[in-house]
Amino acid sequence: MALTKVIGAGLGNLDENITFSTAGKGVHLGVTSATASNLQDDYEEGTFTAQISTDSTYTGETQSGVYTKIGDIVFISIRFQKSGTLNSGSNARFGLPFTSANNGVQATGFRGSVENIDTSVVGIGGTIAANNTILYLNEMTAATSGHNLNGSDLGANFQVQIQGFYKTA
Amino acid sequence: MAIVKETEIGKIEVVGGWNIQVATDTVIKEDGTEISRSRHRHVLQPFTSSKDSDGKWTHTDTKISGEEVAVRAIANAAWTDTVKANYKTWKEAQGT
Repeated sequence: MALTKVIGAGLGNLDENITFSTAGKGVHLGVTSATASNLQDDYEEGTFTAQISTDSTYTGETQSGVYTKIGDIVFISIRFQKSGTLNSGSNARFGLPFTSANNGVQATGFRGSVENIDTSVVGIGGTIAANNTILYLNEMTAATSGHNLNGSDLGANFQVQIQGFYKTA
Repeated sequence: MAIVKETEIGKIEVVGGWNIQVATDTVIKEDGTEISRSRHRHVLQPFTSSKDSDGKWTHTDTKISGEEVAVRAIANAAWTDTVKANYKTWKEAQGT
């Protein structure tokens, strides 16, 4: 069924996916005229390289990253496992599928878990600076508001799993 | 019936001055007709940067020799000396 125009009471029953003939086109939602702030023109899902391959101290035996992007918000999920240890001075960090928005706001919508971690840590989160492609893990302890998680916080054979979302550029 | 698996660069974007976003598509074809497509992304920055305990920064060039030709071309064009200097300034101002 070729969809050329939406009028009247609606579409009826479609039995095919809708595909635009031009990339970057979408649907204006909730308005009756073309309004940029109401345009939904981007959706994508896939995998991404979470491991930062150029950092020789941060090579994992198992790493997976998956994402779903809806508009300018992307949801990511990462699993990273390392049989050895991370150098004590190295921050635990991951690559991202998209650059974060350059809006002066640090993205903090992450929550995760770690196996084999310093016992004073009660949880981990994550932060992404504006206009950045790196997710830093943050430890949360009972005594402090936390700092970047690094090798000294992690034991051998650690495993990190973290999920969250951020606004893209 | 021939099943073929191919990879192709779906998109290369330069974002925020120095970030190069690369989307690589894996395409499965049956007798020449596409039956499946999945996407994998990675992002490149000009350097891997770290700060030691004395506060001294080290910026190591990102190796792009393993990237596709088109990606290398974009990186070489985008990462001018000025852009690299701007990245270092920005990175060090961030503090981590």
